[in-house]
Amino acid sequence: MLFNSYVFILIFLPIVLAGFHLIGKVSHHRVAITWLVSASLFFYGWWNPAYLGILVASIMFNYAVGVYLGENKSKSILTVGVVLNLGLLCYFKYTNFFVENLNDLTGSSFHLEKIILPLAISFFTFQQIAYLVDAYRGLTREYNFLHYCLFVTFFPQLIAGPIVHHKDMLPQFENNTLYKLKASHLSVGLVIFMLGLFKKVVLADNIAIHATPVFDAAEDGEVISFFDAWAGALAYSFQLYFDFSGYSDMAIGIARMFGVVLPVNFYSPYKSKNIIEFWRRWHITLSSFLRDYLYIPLGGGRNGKVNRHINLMITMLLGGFWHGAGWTFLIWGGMHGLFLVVNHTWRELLKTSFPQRNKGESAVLGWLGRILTFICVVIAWVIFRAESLDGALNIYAGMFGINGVYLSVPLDLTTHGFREVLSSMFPSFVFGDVKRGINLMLMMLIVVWFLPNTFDLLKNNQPALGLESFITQAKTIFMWKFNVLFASALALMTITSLFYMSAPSEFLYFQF
Amino acid sequence: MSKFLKSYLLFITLFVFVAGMPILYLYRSGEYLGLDEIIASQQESNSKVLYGTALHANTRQYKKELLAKTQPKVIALGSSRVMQFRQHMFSGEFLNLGGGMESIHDGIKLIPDIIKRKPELIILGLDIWWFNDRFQSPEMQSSEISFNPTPSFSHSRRVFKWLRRNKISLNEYILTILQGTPEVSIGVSGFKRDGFGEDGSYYYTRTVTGQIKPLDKGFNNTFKRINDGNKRFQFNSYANNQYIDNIVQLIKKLEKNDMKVIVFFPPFATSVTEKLNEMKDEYQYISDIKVKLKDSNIVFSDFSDPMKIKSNDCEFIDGFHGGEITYSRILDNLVYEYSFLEKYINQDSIKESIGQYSGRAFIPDNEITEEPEVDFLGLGCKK
Repeated sequence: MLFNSYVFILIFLPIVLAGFHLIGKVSHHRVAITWLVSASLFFYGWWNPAYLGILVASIMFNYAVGVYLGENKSKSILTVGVVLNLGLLCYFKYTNFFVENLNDLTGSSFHLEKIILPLAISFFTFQQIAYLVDAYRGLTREYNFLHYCLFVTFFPQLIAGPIVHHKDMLPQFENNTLYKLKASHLSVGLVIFMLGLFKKVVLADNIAIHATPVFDAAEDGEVISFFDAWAGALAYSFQLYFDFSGYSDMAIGIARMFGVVLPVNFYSPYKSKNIIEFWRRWHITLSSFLRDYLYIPLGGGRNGKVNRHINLMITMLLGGFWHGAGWTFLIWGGMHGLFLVVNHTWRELLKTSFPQRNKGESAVLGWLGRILTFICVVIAWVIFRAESLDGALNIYAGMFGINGVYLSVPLDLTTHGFREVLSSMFPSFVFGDVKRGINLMLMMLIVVWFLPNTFDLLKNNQPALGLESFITQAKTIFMWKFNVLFASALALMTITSLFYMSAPSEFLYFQF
Repeated sequence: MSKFLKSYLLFITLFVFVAGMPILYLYRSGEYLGLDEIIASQQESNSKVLYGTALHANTRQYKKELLAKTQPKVIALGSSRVMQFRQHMFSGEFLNLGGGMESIHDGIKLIPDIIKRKPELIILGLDIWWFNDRFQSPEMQSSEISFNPTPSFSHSRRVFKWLRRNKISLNEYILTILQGTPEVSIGVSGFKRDGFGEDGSYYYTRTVTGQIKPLDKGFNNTFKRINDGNKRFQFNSYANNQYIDNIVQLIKKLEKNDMKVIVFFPPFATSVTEKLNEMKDEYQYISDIKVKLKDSNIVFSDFSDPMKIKSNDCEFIDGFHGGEITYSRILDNLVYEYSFLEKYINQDSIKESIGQYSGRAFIPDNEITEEPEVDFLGLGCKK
């Protein structure tokens, strides 16, 4: 069931929400939690009931191991727990990839039926590995099994994150006020959810039609021109941004309607002035997980620069591989690892060369950094999106002018208007309607660079956890107000989104 | 906060009512029917059910679906310029795929579907601009358009625009919401008797009966395009060789699959032909197409000049779309050129139509409309 489907918005969510608060009011909280867990399992099983067993087995196994580790600090049990979790993930996610590559490498012909990746396995596995590690470290308390089930299955975050941490979530389930329906939670949740829905169905899905044809053509081996390649890459960069940002907002918004505050997962990443900052703003909960449970255990930055760079590369390569079993994802992770290494080296160079450097930077330098970061990210998204290395290389050939920088139709600029010049730049597939495409791109650039994000708008209402590290400069004028005018604006956004939703499209992060 | 929620719910109710009514109107008009249902309604009805959507650009999908649901002996293939061939002109089952091929690339994509139906005869109309790389650049290809007949906000907006511009009356809007459209109509245009018939041919009912302002009165729109060299009439000296090769391959592939292929160039209106002749230096590629096709051993009939088939401006819908009589004349000429066509073409019907309705664009058909044809092009034609 997709968040952006009528069945979810008009049937599932209202019923589960009403049921939860009603049960919470008239009955014991355990019943309300059971209701929510059941609803979450139903939500998960809607996709493929056959995989419910894997989710349930994983929960039971990890809870048992976690309880054991809480009482007995056994490294071998922890190792078994982590290995089994990773083994499950590897089997479903990477077996086909390894077999295919083994066949290619050795000429063998092992054949495996296509293994279908259970939805959300990457997310609930990571969430529970963190729980086991923390249980071993003595950082968990003796949690209630029902609460633990809800921690893993809570449907707003189950499918594609945010990757929640037990210390953030479980205490909230123990709070009695959670079970009382509060207009404030409902209002704030509704606003966040609707902003996310709007981002997904109005912005992301609309820009997608300008990205997909370019990538499809590249896979078909067509020659991609300079302008088409950049337009396609930019369109995909915006599509992914609004898709993921929209999804994260929706997840946080839904949880908030239940009174649960989820961690921030996405905080205007295209405003980042460097790649280090980008990874503090993009998929924040995954970055935190990789930092806390991979990069730091590897040694982090503790053993000198070289080791830090190696650890960074390993972390980013595995982070890339987490996104999908393919060389393209691995290379994408590698590219970002390299960007991070360069970024750290540059920082150190500046620090040693200009020790007295004024820390406050100029606006010009800030913007240069922002544009450079954005370009690097866009270039890396190409390989992330491409279905094959050849497809990606084909687009890179266009982007770097190897296919030539030309207008597809010779133009006499004295007789052709601006629109026709643009049409000739993007002739084939990117801009079916040039004006629409350009307008959409410009609008999105303004949104991602200049407008406050959802959390800035709602900063007075504690919209998410972990916002303290972000200093918003949003002016009061941009603050969301809970008055009639804003209610009408939200209603208009809702109706617009519901109309655009006529053909629900999946969230890009579901595939991971 | 609860005041905020109450206001929100109130506005939602209001917006749903305002924006939802146009969607209900479109739904009741049949605009959200799937192609399966549309074609089934057309095929199962004893009356002439016209499908005319005012919402979707789905001609290619509709034609593809129509092809999959029929077993035609004869197929008319090409752009909207072959849409006036109708079932009554043929002896066996006929399907008009006009509009299913707006470029050579579209045709290539359609071939596997045509081969599956095993028709005996293909009448292929070629548009000159298919060979002009200034109209369709070498990289240009038709994209797959998916037809998704589901409501959207833009549909609501569009209905309001129609109401504002009086394209639909308030009375019609309310009645459609309350009662739906008659059985013989699917879609907003279909209700006005504009649209595709069961055989895939198209009816320009509102235009020929003067219910709407024609887009090409006096052929002025076509003349402007020719003068400006745009919108299908881009100037060019040479026909694109790759496109010539592609069409040759397309024809050969059809022939290789046991189909007889008749190739022709559809006519322009007489005064448009004269205009093109006046500007032949700008349009040298037109003669180049024909030379190159001949060099590739493609046999074709050139009806670009309607004089050749004794048609005239009064028999046209616009500058480059002939009417039913023009297309009857084309078939009459083709039978004369290719005697084997006698078994496919209903010569009696054609001769009767030409004899009775010469000078008209539309053969009267009370099942379509009882309104008479008028001098919709403003050329002083006697109808």
